[in-house]
Amino acid sequence: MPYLLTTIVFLPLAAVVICAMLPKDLAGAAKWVAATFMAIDVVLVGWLVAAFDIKGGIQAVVDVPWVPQIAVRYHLGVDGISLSMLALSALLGLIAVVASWKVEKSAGTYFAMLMLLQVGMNGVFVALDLVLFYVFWELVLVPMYFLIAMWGGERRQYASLKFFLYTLAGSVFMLVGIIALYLTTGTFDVLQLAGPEASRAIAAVPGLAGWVFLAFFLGFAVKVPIWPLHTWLPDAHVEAPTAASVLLAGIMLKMGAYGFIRIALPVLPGAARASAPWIAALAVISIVYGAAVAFAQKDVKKLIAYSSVSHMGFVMLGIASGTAAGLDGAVAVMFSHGLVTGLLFLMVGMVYDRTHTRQIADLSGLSSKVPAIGGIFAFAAFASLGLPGLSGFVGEFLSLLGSWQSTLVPHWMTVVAAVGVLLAAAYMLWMVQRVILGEPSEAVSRIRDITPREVVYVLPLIVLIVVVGVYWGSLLRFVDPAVQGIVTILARVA
Amino acid sequence: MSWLIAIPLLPALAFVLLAPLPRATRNALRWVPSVAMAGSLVGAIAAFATVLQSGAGEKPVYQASVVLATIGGKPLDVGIQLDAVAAIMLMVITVVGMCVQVYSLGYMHRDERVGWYFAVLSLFSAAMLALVVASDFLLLYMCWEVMGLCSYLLIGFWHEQETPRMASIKAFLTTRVGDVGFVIGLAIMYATVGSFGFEAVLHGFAWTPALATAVSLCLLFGAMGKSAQVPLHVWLPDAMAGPTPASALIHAATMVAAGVYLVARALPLFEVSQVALTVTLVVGTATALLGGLLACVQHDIKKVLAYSTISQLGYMFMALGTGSAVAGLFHLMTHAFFKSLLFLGAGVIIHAVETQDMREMGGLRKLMPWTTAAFTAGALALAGVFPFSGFWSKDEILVSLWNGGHYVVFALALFAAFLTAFYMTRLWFRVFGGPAQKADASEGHGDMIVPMVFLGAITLVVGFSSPYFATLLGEKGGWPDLAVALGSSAIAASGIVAGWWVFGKKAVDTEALKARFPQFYGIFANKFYFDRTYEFVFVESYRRLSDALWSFDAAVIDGAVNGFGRAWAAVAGGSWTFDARVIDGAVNGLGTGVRWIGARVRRLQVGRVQTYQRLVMAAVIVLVLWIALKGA
Amino acid sequence: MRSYMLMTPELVMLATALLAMFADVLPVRGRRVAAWIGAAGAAAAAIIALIVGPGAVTLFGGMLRFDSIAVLARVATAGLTAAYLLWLAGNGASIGRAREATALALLAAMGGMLMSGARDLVVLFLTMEAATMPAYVLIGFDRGDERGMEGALKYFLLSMVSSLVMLYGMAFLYGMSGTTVFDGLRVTTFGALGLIAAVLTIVGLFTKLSAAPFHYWSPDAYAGAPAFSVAFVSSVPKIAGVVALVRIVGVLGPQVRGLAGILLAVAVISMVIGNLAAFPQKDVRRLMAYSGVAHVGYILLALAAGTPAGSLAAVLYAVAYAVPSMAVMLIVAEEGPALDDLDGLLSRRPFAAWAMLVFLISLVGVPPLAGFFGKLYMFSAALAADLVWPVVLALVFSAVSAGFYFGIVRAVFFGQRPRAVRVHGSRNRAADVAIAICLLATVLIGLLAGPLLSAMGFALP
Repeated sequence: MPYLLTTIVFLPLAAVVICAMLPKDLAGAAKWVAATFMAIDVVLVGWLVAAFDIKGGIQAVVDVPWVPQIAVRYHLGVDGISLSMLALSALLGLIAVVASWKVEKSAGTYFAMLMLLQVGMNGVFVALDLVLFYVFWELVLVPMYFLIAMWGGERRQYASLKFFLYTLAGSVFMLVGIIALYLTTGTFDVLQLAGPEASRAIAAVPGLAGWVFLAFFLGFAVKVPIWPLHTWLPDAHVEAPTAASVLLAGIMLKMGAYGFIRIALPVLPGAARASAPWIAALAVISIVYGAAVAFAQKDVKKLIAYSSVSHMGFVMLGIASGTAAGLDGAVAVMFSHGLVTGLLFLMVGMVYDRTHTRQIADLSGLSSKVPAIGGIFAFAAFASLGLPGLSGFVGEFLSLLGSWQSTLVPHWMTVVAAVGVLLAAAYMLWMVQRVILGEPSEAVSRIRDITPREVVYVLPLIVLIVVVGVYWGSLLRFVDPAVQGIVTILARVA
Repeated sequence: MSWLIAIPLLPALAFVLLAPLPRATRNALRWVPSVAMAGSLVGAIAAFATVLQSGAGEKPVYQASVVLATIGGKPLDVGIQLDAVAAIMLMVITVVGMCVQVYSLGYMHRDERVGWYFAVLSLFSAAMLALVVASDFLLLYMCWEVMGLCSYLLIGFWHEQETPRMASIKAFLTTRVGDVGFVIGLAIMYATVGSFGFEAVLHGFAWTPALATAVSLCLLFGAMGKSAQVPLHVWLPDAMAGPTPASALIHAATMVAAGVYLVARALPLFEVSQVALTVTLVVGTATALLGGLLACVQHDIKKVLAYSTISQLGYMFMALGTGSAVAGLFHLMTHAFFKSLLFLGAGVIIHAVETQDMREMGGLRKLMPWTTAAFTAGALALAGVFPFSGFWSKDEILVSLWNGGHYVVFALALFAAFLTAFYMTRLWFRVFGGPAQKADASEGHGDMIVPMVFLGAITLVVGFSSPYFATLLGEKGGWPDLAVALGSSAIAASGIVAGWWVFGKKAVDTEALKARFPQFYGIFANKFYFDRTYEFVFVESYRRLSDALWSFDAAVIDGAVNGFGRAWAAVAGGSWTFDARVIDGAVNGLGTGVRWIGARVRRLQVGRVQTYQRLVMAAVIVLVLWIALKGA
Repeated sequence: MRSYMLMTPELVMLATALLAMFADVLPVRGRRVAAWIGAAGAAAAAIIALIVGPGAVTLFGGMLRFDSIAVLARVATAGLTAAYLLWLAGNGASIGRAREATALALLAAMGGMLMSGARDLVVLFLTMEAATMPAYVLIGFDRGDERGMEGALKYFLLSMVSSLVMLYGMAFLYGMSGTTVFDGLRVTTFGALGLIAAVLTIVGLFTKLSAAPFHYWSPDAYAGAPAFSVAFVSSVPKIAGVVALVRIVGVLGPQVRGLAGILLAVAVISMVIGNLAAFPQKDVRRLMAYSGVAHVGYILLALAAGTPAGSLAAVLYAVAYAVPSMAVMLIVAEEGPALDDLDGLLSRRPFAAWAMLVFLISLVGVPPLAGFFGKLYMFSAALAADLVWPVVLALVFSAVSAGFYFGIVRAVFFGQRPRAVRVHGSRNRAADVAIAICLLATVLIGLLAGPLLSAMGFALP
């Protein structure tokens, strides 16, 4: 058990090495290597989930000194929140590999990058030491840069560098915050930092908490992304290859929100409470703004990208509320958005592979010509607009409940956010209307329907979307206990 | 009696079974939903029986709940229950549902996606059934939304054409406007009570009038969306673009009644806040009148029925507005039967004459006797003629209005009743009366006729259950007040006479009227400008807003980012040129003085070097001076 | 007598240098042999230095002492030199007069190693000159190339001036304290004049390290010099230079008020100038020259903290910087100095391309590479001394610096140019091995930094 997390995190690294070593003529084997390792990874995560004790707090802990001189520890562990994110990351990772089956262009490098990305994504969600967290956090950038810049669309150079610099610039502020915390408390350990002793030390320095929170906020907000720090997202999404888009939207956006839940809130509860109204305001702006801009899009991928901005707004609203319902909702949205947006991007990818266009104007009548693709696409769209019984509804509903319940968030913001749900329906249905329904357009007229391989990688997502949507407990039973801990910490400073 | 869950579950399973199948197989299995529905029907009858013998009243005879999730350690559970209201609703839905299913087998059999049609119909029934057995507002809301989805799918069933596509999205969004209110209501409910259960919310909590008003108005807003109340009624007429049987089930009998059901359920809350009741009453009245008036000027037979549905729903809201759930629900029931009957009839007619425009119909009474008979029964019921069911239910509503002392509303209600009789007569003469315009129009399939006849029979008898209905719901019931009954009958009669006079006897030239009062007619023709206003005020402005924001995003926010990048590059370039130029500049100034250095050296422009030296010295001196001035 | 053993590494270097110089008389023939010998010698020196380790003993009456910092510097300098010479051995053919280059590199390295142990102003000065002299020749290595000579001459004259200034300052210090030994200076108290003296002394080092505003020479000099010389001159001597700075600041800092302020000012100026001016560069040598300025800025920031932790971090970072920047220049030396000479390197030499990427992102400071940990320690030390805004500035700049480093990455990975026809002379694997060694170091220094620092007693308040 002690090695389980380490294995889960670094197993893809083995795949990286192998894929990188593969000679040119064997590059075709890379996908098999990646798939195998990811499959094992998923199985291990499954085992972890099965063995997880819901009341047991942080589990599967590894905690050994790494750089004792500055108290940096190799500290891994999962609670319900990180577990759900880790599971999502592993699952989407595997799906991304299968979805990239047709990648020919220097496949070895491609899958090596994909796996390296996986290491970072898995790591972020289990790291309990700030330096370690930061290492994994940054580890994600370079492979994503290459996935976009090498296998991306026309403007890939611009998009990839924008993504890289934007997120890097954001995260250096986080580094300042991390160091500042260490110098005040003498530890990088997230759990200790959340403890009373550390919080006393932080409180002792006037104004520190506020500045550090701001630093973390900048780091996380760029990743989430919160309006107005979001413009890297549409470019990156549109230019990225399908698998990269899936992971970008499915996992990497969650890293920011996870950072808030795992670090910013427990470590700096006071500052978190103080800034809650502002964060909520930005969240609400993100919700409405993202929805409105999505409505105007002509490129399906860009539309989904902006819908992500809107959905992540609900995450931030739930986080800002600081209530159990809100935080449960936030995590639920994170999880669901991973599944749903992942599915949406996969469907767009399928359509693009067949028609070589993502322009809404060129697409029409999918459901008549290719019922399966059209149907699943529509299913994903309805999941995304928060239809009850599908996962999308759970989180958005709970974060609305939470934000109304919360004393930190003004009621009118909740009302505006609720209107956001309506707007979500507007842009999604408008897209369905033009792309999926109607008479088949010229581009659609001679394409073939879904293949077995494609079924294989969308099926798990569909199943999970329904399961979580019908029985919320299937997800929240893991999340809620962890959330309660955070809520009590927040209540302590109230 | 845990089998209760089976009632909604059976159709749900039918959907789950059909949905993933390939189209051909699905079409072949289109009978499956009907079988499931039959099962539910049996279950509903059983449930009804149970309630009867338990002599129920207010409190449920059966309850069960599951924990959906624990939030902050507190269980959030959803559950089902069976009480009188639920039992009655179950009966209504299953009976009408069954009829529509059977009817559809005949009506839709030619369509290439008939399998999908039945699957969605089945999912809808499941949702509606679950909605009425739900024991809490959360489950109710979830089913509510699923019904919205089904409605969307069925309205847009023929999505290759523009009209149904647009109608479907309009319906979904308009109802969702209401749902925003519903959700906020739920949020307040949760924040206040911490639960969604009917019991806890309606009886287990001491509401302050203010909060009660807030919540009940939110719920009312949701209900107005679903039940097409003014000003959220605009979607229902367009929804007629869907297949007629679907309209019969969803947009006449059941789904649109869900709003009424919701308000009826939440009535205790409404009663705490009198405000909400008043608002309900006003909304209902307005809707009843508007629907009635607009029904008089429609030429599309389905549109007439649609507006009459709106008007009748308004009636139900009036009843609820007086605080009488019984009257509202009773009218809901009777209306469900006769309105679905009318729609099914309309379907047969449309099949026969292949148009929906009444001006191209006429004289069908000879060609299709069965349909005529059934339809007429429905029409009389709607007009509120004794002994048809509509008479009884409308009567109860009028009585409760009178007893409630809402005399103005009472008068308006009578006027609405008059309108109802009038436009139904108009419809009848347009469609069945006069000379036959299509000789080849023929009676529909047996499997289309049978359900209609069956519903016709119900329409004829169900009214007499009025007193027992009340007692079943735990209120004191009785036969209607004779005075009111006579009054309403008189009104109905006058409406019919007027209708005959104008459209049967053709004593008045309607075209001449139109010509006489163009602006007056214009108001009607434009449906009181609701759609226009929404089109401009909301849809257009939102479209413009989103375009504006999109360009704002590209130009300003992203522009700022790129601008920062460019600015950086500029500064960088500048700083470098400075780094180089300053020196060159100095070179040009000082370079002349250094000719004497040897030829080889001169070729190397050592002037530069000396400058470097000077610069270094300068830097040093500056530092030194600075320190000296700063003075230790 | 025993204590002279402590100097074996330097002696080995010296011997190897002489050997290399007269390699022709050796029985073994071949143009690369000198470089091979040099590499072996330097490697040996590094290992010996590691074995000998730190000694409390002082040599020549307190003129030299090799404490842990010195050991780190010696090992690093010798090790890097070894890698460098190994690369030279690999490319010997393409570079004329590999013998001289070898000897010069070894001598310069030896000077640096001694310098890192200096405990006396005079020794410091002499060793510094010893370390610098060969560098002039390396810069002007191509006798034919005038720009090379020009660069060399500039470098020479500039460092002469700076040396003089430095000497001037040292004279002051001597005058005020009556001693040139650090331990003696440490106990003296200086007035305002002390600050002047200290500044004059330090300015010399600023110039050698090319910290702004004393950096003017480096872009021109590097741009004029052959890339393989730049690879050495721009990286290896910096280690010893930083150590020397650490020493002087360590001695004078406590006595002389305001020194920290000046360090800070120079640090900030260097960061700004370096990071900005690097952007528009199309010549990688120039680009790396400016990036060098920037990195010296970071180092000075750590020194400005004026704490032992800061000094240690500074030295460590000097190493963490030297390795990748040398490696980058080595690859450039093989491919050509212009940015677009690197176009399509990925297709030509995938290994070199990926290695280049690692070196560059280490310079950016992306974890878990050397650059990141180096910065982590330095900035922690600086923050501990409440230099909040300078640190924020430094971090922002190091993030933005990715902009110009990725200019190189773009060329290497996405440069669209028909397969370049460059003659790599008779390049052999040794060159790749050298780069691989640098790669390994870049990855490991960061991860092993902990034990290293603990050995040197790194501690934050």
